[in-house]
Amino acid sequence: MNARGVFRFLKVSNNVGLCSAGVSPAIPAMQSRWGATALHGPRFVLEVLCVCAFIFAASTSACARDAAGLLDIVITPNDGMPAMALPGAEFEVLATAPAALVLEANGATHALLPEWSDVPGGRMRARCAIPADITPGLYALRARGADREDVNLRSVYVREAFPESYTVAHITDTHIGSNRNTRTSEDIFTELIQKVNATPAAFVLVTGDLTESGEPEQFKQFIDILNTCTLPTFVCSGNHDRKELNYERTFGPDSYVFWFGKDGYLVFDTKDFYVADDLGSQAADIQLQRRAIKGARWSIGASHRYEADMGMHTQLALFIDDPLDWFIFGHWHRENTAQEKSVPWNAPGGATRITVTPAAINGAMRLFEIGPAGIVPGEVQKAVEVK
Amino acid sequence: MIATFLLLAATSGLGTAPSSGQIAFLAGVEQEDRCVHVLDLANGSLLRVGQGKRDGAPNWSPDGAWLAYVTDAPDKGTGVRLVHADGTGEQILRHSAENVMGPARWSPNGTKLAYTSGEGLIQRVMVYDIESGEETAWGGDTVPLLHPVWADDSRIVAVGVVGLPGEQTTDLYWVTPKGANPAADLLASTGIYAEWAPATDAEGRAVAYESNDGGDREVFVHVMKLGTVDVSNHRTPDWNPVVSPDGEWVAFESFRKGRRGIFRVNPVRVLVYEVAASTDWNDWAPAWSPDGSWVAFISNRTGTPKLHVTDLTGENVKALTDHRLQDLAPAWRPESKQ
Repeated sequence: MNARGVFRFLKVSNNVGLCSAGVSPAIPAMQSRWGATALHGPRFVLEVLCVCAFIFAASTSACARDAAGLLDIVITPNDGMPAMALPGAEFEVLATAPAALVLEANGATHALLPEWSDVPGGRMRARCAIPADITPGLYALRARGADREDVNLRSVYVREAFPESYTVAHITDTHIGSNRNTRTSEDIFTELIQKVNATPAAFVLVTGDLTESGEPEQFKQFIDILNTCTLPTFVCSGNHDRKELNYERTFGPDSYVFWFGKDGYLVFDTKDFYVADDLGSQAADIQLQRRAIKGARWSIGASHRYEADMGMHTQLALFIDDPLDWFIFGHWHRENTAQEKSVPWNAPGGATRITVTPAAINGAMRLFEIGPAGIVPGEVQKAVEVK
Repeated sequence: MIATFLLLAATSGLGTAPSSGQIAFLAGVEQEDRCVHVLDLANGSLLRVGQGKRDGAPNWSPDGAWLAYVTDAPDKGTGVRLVHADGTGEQILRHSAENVMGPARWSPNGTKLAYTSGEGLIQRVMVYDIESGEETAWGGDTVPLLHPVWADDSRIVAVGVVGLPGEQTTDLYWVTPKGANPAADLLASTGIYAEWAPATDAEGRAVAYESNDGGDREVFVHVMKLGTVDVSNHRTPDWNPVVSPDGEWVAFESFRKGRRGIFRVNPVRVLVYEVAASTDWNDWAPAWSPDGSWVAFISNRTGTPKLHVTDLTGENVKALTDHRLQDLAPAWRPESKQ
């Protein structure tokens, strides 16, 4: 099996994982994105069987997360904060306990050599080198601890390259568990993911209000649908997701940085007015994370919400002292107007531009084209009929 | 409303701790249930004295008799509440606007409280007279004003938001009942750099603030009759200055060790000393003891923000709480009337 074949099988496996949603809608997208040959006839049956074998192998000893859908040994990377890297590159693993780590794809395994170090709070961190000879594609990360193991099926994406120009999909305000439209929120999100799968996007930003009220079962439903996505998905929480620490138990840190080639992305949580709060540690975390992507070609923030009276130290870090190039968020359930094209703060080279995407619960999504010339938000797509 | 806990603090952490005094701080699992607590260092008792509904940072009256904090109002919005250190005597202040933004800060003579109210960045400084119960706007309405601190009983230093949307920045302003004027005497320049977090000592001898004048965020201190000096001057951000009660030292937070840590500097000698800092965790929110010999602060060295205390050498750090809650915003009770 060639590299593309491995990747394609894993893509298919994610669709098989959501049996009720069916597999067919995502397949054309896989073909166009990864150059796969047509899937039909006996070969298709064979591939689906292989995928089923992968799912079975991955799920017999443990499922991704624990039985409730919560993170277990490995906190990150996970399906809401995956690692994307080239063969031979490193990625970081945050865990609750030291464990043997293995990348798995379609029966093939690649043992990693983590060197664990302590992190305050009883956690462990390790830098892991991806084997240089690994076949690009999606890998599950299996962790074998002293008394248990877990596996996350959509946590490590080994890429062939990071292109200079690429597409990013933005979804926000999925509100899983709400009854505000004729169709259910789950139904709408499922179809929206199918539409995203059909785009040329390199990855998807899902910026908060993932759930209607932050209940564990709503997060579980969200994950089940999210895992039908054939693309890497990066999530953050919103004000509707605040219920105890359910978001953190489901997806881990409330702010993080990732790179796509030369571009740095800072994804952070605004919850309600969490970052309006200069009292806690988040302003410092965001300051450090902003500095971590200082050398990026484009620095792009993604969050649930922005209000001009948010915590000033976060605003100083992101929009004044070291201004982001672009800031993408939701919460408003509408587009930003022509008068709302930037944050209010002055910065060298101009104020940080903003783009607000309407709510996914109302069927909306948006694509961004990112390249050497800049960041170009596309028109809002009313991708799903919600009535 | 009041619950008493015995602290495990006496046996946790390293080093020694002051044997008397009280520290008010916030504790909660998350922002929604944050509540003002008071820790008695003499006996280790911990009292829950706040409302527990999104309580904001507590501030002691200069005589130590009252705590003021912003919290959810009874019906809608937010407002200021007063309470004694033992949880008695709660008073709910009445405001002209629905939303009040804290912290509420006491005037040096303890007769007034200053805070802001408004929407978004369009905030006005409001001053509440404790005796009359009247609330008046200070600073006029020519410039939105944030983060008021008292310079003396008749003047406030606040942050003005200047410029049109998309071109806005911040400057310091002197605020009185009659209006607001740019504090050109405190600043090297106006309208160019972004200032924030002004702080004063108990007697208005020094005004500290942070500014991005210098490339990144730096702490500046204006000492009356001596002028303004960049006292932190480092290539990493320095912010949140807090002036010691005697005006001798300014504690501030800095990222110079890779994470947020606490340092102190004498504004005349301009030598920076480490108080609490690490490459592995964050230490922040310094609060001076009344005699200036201890600093209470928050540290997440155990993974969760907890109240700690240290002497000025930083060699005697001690954890003061050991509960499941997150601690924030410590404030040391003034010594005079304890």
